[in-house]
Amino acid sequence: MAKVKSLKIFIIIIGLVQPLFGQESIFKDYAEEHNKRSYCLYPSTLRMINLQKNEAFDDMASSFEKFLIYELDSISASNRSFNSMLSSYKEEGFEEYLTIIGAGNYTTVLGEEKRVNEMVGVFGIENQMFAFFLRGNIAWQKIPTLVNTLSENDLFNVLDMRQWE
Amino acid sequence: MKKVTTLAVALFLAIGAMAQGEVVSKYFDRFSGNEDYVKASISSKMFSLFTELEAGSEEEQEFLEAISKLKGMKVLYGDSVANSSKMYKEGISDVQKAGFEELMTVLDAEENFHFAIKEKSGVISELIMVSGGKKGFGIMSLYGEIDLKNISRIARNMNVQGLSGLDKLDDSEN
Repeated sequence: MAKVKSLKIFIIIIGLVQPLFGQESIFKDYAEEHNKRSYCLYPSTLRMINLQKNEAFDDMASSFEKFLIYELDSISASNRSFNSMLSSYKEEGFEEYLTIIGAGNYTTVLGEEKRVNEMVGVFGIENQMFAFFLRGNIAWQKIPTLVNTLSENDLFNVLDMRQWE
Repeated sequence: MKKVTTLAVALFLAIGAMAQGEVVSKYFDRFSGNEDYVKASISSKMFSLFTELEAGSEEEQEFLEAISKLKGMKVLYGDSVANSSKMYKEGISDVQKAGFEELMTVLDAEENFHFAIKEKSGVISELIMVSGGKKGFGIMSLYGEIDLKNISRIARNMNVQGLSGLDKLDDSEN
């Protein structure tokens, strides 16, 4: 009887955890096939790029659970195949938060905050296109403090590969 | 009977919500594949995230209050449009056909602006701005509960191309 009870609890836990992985897997399935570089940032990694130990940035970093950024390959950037990935998220109940398209801009941010706090999207910087997935309780109220206190040399820009060469 | 009334009210509200931003949405569809135009859309969810921000100064506080009642914004803007003057006139005609009431028109040597609103019981639910210059054309819709006094504040702080004309509303009050 105890074994049956444990099995039931196990099944319930798996059932609860499954949607979380399900949401992330849509992103990963797409991005891992179409990327040039990938970055997986956790609170500890975000704290590492904070060269000047900015306190507001550390507070912000500890509020997310996971932050995945993939630089997409040039084919995916030009044929915009990421739109199908974003459509899958919309089917999962993600809502459109922001879209800026045209004249060299391409930014879309979708979010879901009912079941788990997640955001997914794409954005372009110069000729590079990135897809991102973020999970965690983002401390939005800390952003103005962060923007006001961050100076140019505070952070190491992991997305700028020229710094690595 | 009560259920039918509730359903009718819910449907009416839903249709009303869907209709907001509809004029600009038509332009989004029309120029969907045209890279000469920037199309920006901010949803109520994004505005609700802004409202969680902590204001650091009085000006920031005023900005957050101004956006707290907005439900969305749609902007289409192109700065090298061949037939901008024709587009401007067409934009105004579309706004009028959609039942908007003219608020103000600014005729300028560089760029003209036409502002129109949808108002019910003293509450402005949507503001549309159409702009047209020598080469540029833009159409923007702000919807939600709009206080005209705060509109120029939103334009100044959001730094979105195509919103600069909203400052004209402030000029008209001075």
